[in-house]
Amino acid sequence: MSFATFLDQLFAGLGLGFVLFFSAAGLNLVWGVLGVMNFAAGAVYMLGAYLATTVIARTGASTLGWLLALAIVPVVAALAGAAAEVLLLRRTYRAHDENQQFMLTLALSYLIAGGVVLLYGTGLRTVALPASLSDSWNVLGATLPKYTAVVIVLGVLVAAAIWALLYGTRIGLLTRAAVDDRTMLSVLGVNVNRLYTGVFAFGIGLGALGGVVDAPNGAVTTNLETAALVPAFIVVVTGGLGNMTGALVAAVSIGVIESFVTLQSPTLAPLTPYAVMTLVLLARGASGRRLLPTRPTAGG
Amino acid sequence: MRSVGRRLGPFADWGPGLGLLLVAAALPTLVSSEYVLLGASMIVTMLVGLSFNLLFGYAGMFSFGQATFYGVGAYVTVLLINRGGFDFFTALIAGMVAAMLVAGVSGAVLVRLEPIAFIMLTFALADLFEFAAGHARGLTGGDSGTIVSLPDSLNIIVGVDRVYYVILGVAVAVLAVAFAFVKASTGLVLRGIREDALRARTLGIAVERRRLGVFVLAAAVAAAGGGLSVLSTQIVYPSVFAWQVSANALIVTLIGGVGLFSGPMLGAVVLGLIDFYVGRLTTNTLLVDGLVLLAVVLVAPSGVGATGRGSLLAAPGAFVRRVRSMARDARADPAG
Repeated sequence: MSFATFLDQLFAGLGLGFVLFFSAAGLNLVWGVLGVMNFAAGAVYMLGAYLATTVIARTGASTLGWLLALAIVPVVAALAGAAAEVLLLRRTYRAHDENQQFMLTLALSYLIAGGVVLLYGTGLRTVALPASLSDSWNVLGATLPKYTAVVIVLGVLVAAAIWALLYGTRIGLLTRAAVDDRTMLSVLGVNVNRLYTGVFAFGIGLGALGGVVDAPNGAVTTNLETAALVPAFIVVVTGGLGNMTGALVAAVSIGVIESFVTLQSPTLAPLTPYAVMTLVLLARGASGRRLLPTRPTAGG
Repeated sequence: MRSVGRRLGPFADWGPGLGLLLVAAALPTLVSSEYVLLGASMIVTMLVGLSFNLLFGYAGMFSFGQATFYGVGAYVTVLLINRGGFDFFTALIAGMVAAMLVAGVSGAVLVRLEPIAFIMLTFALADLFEFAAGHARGLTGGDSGTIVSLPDSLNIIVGVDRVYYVILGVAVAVLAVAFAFVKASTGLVLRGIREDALRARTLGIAVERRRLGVFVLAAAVAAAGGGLSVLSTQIVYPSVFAWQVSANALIVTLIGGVGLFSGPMLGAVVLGLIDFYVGRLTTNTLLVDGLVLLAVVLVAPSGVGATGRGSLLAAPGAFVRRVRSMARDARADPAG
């Protein structure tokens, strides 16, 4: 493999990995803090991609339109997420029945998917990138599509923002405290309900952001739901439930490895996440640790 | 924690199911062939629901991947008939055995996982099989599917009623085995594990082995559903492994009542009728199914978890309790 080919695959892999990180981070944050495994994450991702096609089509595939989609869609999704949390999930925390919460999010995924079919039909849609983002740069003989570079930069920024939020702000401090002892936090006068709504909305926004960012990479179809959900689940399991650093490392590694596997065998490439997860779980098992932690730990 | 069976009397556990089976036995004499076909698909859905109920209702294991075993049952049955020239029943039993093997191997790891990880990885396993079935084109025909070549005696177009009775007959046999299993001490032990795994372990029960056992049995039940589905669909696509199959198993069990033996039977009939009539109005059944699921999950007050409270039979009482507890919640401090 020449150095240029190596760089090509590395860039593509990083792009893939950071797209994966957006939805996995949303899923992981919600699991880590609220203890809810959000099955609707795939549907939210799909909704994000579809809404992006609308916003970008309305603005004629301009740079501004693309930025607008990037800004508006996650916010809209986050607001809808906040509403769903207040109306449906909030009442389930006291009993803390993980299965019931999972089923509620499953119902939400049905409703979102049904809504998408109602609005957009089942045909495929595509997003045209603005001219400013559709060509590529030459880096040391390798091609770096501008859009891939944008995705990588955006991914690094979002990851940094999540860390800054969790470890540099009072909200982050309270969020981490809520993981440890929710009751104590509310006794200290913190509005835990509002905190949970915020975290859930943020997680949903991240998932929708993943859909928006991924929309120009291929056709937007109803298959996106499962296509996004399974790898996101796998990243969360591989990185360790609730572990953000783990999720970032797992997402980027899986993206890069998958990209190199694609070079050898495009058919087998989609199996990469499973293979990586299996190896990581086996290694964890062999080292005598629990396969997965019982209690979620947020942050690092 | 009292089960719905206790609250409603023992008859409520199996009575409604027996009633439905009697109606099912007379179905071809009562309705037109369109509804006989609907009945056949309800029976298949019921079997996957029964498989889920054995795991979740009796053992507290929330599997979101019963599609794996449904699909293995369907594909092995079709491939053995088409490629090996086996007769349907031999192929069906081989399909069930194959599913049990898959469950035995994957279950060795899966049954040790935490509940959420169990949900996610059973789901991922089905997705893995869907991928494999879509890509092993030489064997499965990929996304174009495989048409099964059945003799005329098992061709549903030639004789709807005969094929319907074959499906019903196999389903009754499977139900009988499952009923014997949950009513014997094995079923009681599993419920003990469900309520308190640590205590069961302390009492000397091999928790993992029991869980693996019911996982394997449930796989055979789902595979029977998959193998029988071949008779009514006559074609198998990789979508037999889709998570919607697992979700349907969950929804029918919730509608009918978790941990209630009749639960999946009641639920399969209700969901089958809803989807049938909604399907006449629109192809978009997702919204309706989502609303049904949402309603059932919300009606069951503190989690439907293995108490049968989502049951149709218990629904009126549960609804009253739900409204009362919502009124209580509205008054109480929300940050509990």
